[in-house]
Amino acid sequence: MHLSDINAKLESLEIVLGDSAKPFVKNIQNVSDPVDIEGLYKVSIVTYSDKNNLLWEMPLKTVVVPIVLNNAGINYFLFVGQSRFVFGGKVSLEVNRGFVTDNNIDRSLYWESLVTRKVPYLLDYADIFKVVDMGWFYQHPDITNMKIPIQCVFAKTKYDMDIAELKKNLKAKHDYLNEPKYGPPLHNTEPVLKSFDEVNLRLHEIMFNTEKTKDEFYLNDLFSMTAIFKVFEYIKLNELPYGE
Amino acid sequence: MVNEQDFINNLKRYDPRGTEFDDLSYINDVIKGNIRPITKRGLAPNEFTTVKLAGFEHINDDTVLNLFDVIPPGPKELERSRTHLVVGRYSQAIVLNILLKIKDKEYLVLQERHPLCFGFEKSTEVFRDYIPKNITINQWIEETFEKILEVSDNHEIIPTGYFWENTGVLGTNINSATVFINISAGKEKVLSMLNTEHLTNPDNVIGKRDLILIPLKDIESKDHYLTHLISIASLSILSRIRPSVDL
Repeated sequence: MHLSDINAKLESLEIVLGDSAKPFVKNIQNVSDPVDIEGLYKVSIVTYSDKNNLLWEMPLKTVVVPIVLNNAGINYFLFVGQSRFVFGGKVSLEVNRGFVTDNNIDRSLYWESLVTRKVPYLLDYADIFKVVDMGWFYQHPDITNMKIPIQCVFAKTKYDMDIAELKKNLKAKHDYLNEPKYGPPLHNTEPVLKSFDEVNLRLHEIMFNTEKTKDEFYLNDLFSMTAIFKVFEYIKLNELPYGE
Repeated sequence: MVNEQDFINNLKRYDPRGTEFDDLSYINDVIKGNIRPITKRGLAPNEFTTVKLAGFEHINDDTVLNLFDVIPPGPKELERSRTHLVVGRYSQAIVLNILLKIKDKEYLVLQERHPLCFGFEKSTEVFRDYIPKNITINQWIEETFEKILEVSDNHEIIPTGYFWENTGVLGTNINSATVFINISAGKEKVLSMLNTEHLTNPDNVIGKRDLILIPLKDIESKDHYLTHLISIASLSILSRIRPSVDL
């Protein structure tokens, strides 16, 4: 295939294979027309050196938003519990992440797009002290070149609450009507609060007690682990922004 | 408790399109080995309801594109059904931190590749590969790095569990481990032992790669350099473990 035809087909996946002088480009034999799946994914198959490769892209931008919530002097991560189809519908406990509803939103405000949609009551019960841009990463360099930012929200409850009360207050009352025009429907999410100590214990368990955790989808996904590590790294070098 | 067949019949009563449901046993037969089986239909309001396998395509020997029609959590109405993409894989992935101590200096073994989705721009990554299903991680590491382990003074392999690759689209997991190797050979010799043919051209999944040695203290962040999720997560694990004995 001619390079310009290849790049034209991959344009909607935001992948450009560059100039034809590259030694790899001549090995591309075919590129299928990108297929749109529910406005959420674009998928194309590239035949390269006699092998088919799957490439995909998500038209909506996504963001990972670890939330650190200080309540009654204790620091918690505010995670989310939601059922995951890929886990056979089992509940997965994760760092909050997901699509922003509009790609025109300023990148620095992706966190807000996610929080107001996924944790809509956070701002009623907590003040946000700081949002820290923790960089970005590529999701998976073999099948997508999606760049995903990590934006950490540091918040403190407006008054001290016991954990049960705090969770009850933060639970979203989904009516399933607030779906964006296109984009994923909201999951039935459950707020999950874990102290820093609990999270550290869990990370140790994931790394060294694997049999025990084999079927528990609790913080052992790549997104959550990476985000948590980044937050802990940040806290090592910076004071928590809550003041006295 | 709602009976599954009654549940399906009830949904179909209001569906002018006449949607057909697939048996879960049929779906699981087709998807076997590339993603987790679908264990339940999902009748509760907060569950995904599986309607049918809408597509199944082998992209290559290892990668499968599975498309499911599912009703997401919420009202059980067939018009809310959407196609859900799940990418499956038959092989077991592994990501490996390899920390070499050469004459008291610590190096990480990284791989350089030219992934298609970066437009063949060079990507520097933590070492990763795929392992046969009938072999343990330790056996695989011992065999894959046989040459270098043979001449090492001592080494230690620490398996560090696994993580889910992507809970939204991929349901596959990646094994994780760290190898500490103490070796008194020169850096160039070590590098040539690493860049053997079976490691640089392991299979058609990873594609060609070159192994490089980077002093641990020089790890830095720049474009396509340890910036993808798998590498970051792997190196974060490395920051939390040390060998049990002083290598």
